Amino acid sequence: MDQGARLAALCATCHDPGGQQHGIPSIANLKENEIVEALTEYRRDESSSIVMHAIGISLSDEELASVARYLASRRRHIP
Amino acid sequence: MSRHTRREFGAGALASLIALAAQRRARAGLKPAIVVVGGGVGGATAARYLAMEGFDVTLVEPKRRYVTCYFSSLYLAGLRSLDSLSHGYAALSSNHGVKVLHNTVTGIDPVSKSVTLDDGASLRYDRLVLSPGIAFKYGEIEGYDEAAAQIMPHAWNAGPQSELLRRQIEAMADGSLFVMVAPPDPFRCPPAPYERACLVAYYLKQFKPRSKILILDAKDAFKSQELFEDAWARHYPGMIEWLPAQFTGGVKAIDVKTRTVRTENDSFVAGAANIIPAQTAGQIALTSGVAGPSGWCPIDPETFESKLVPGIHVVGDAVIGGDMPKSAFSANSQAKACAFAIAEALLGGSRFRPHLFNSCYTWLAPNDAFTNALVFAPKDGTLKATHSFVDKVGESAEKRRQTAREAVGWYAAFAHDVFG
Repeated sequence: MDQGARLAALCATCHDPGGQQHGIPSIANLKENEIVEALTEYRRDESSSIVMHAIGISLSDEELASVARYLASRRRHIP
Repeated sequence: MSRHTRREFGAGALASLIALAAQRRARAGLKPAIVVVGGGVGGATAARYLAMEGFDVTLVEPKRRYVTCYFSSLYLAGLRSLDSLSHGYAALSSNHGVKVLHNTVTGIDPVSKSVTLDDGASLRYDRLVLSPGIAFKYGEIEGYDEAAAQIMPHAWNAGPQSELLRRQIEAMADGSLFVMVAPPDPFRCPPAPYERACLVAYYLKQFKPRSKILILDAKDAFKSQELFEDAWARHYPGMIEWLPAQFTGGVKAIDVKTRTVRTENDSFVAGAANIIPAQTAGQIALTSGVAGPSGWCPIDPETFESKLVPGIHVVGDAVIGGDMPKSAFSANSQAKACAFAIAEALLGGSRFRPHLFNSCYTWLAPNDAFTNALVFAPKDGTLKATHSFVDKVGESAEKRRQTAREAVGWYAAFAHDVFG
């Protein structure tokens, strides 16, 4: 597994890869820039989710880009 | 050079040679063999991610189904079925090619790198991953042993113990006392005794409103205490009393015949009781030599390889991992880091720093849950918390309802991540 795939294992702990909602937002169909923007915002501000804030601050810029690229490459369909 | 250092150097050199041999086998198209012992959260996650890395993985777990300890107090409260908390191993086999053997490991030979099973079979491994879970230190409280646990359950492994405790809660007379004995640190899932008190209180409030809960603690303080005490006052006023060890002198004896719990100065007759004993790493950790004098397993914080027996990795509750608590989330996080470290050692490729987290959803009532989030990093040979966040007292009811909804979603996604 490459770096992006291994980092995406962090996401799979809480986000259903099938994209089901179940109270935790799906990340199955996000574009690369949407993921980068969301993670950057979570990193900056803990108020909306302390869990995502913890994830955001633990990722380096390179890791953040890498996981966003990987997740976007796994999108099921382009809306 | 001291003798001790020479021996360590020798073990390190041997490990490097074995890793080189495994890399050669991998290049020749033969997958290195990994045996994972224990099919709880740590073991199942390790098996799944090792298989995704391309290893030939065998998981040895005697039980056909695993019942999650996390969320099992929702079952006690009548809010979830035990079936909804039970998971099999079929997807690990069919989706990931993990060979699952429902056997018990009877021996581990770290020199010949093999594991023997109760049916006489022997499995060779390049690396062994143990996820031993916990064992109970029976005998620390007079009168409480394995037989006594069949009468006054610990319910700290989910399954038949949970069913026994649920039956006793259902059978207790309205107005009688529910006594919980809470264990000393370290133990599986630090907030769980106090979460259980909330959920048992939720049940009692509806069906035995004159009953009360008494928590006799082996400690003088506990994790997230202010959040629990706030919830006890809001949801279950006057129902839950917590007595620290400094007040009671600690629990000294149990009499299962009369269902009596005796502290240094007092004794309490329980309508139903939940005795959670002191804990150690699971049995296989103790017999294989990976557990140290503390009863827990010291590990390299980057790779989760045992500091005591080379070639054996340990993940989950059995690990003594610095600041990392014993939780399902921690076990899952450690198992992934361990799987990636084994892949880097045996298959080569780039090395990436491990990412280790813990986050626990804790139930205070059906529509009131809180969470925390911790980041860990290897430092000075152990795991240090670098960041820690926790929900606070006084948050809005809507935020807590939302967290309870997230908890349900987390459970579903997490079960998929662990069991495939």
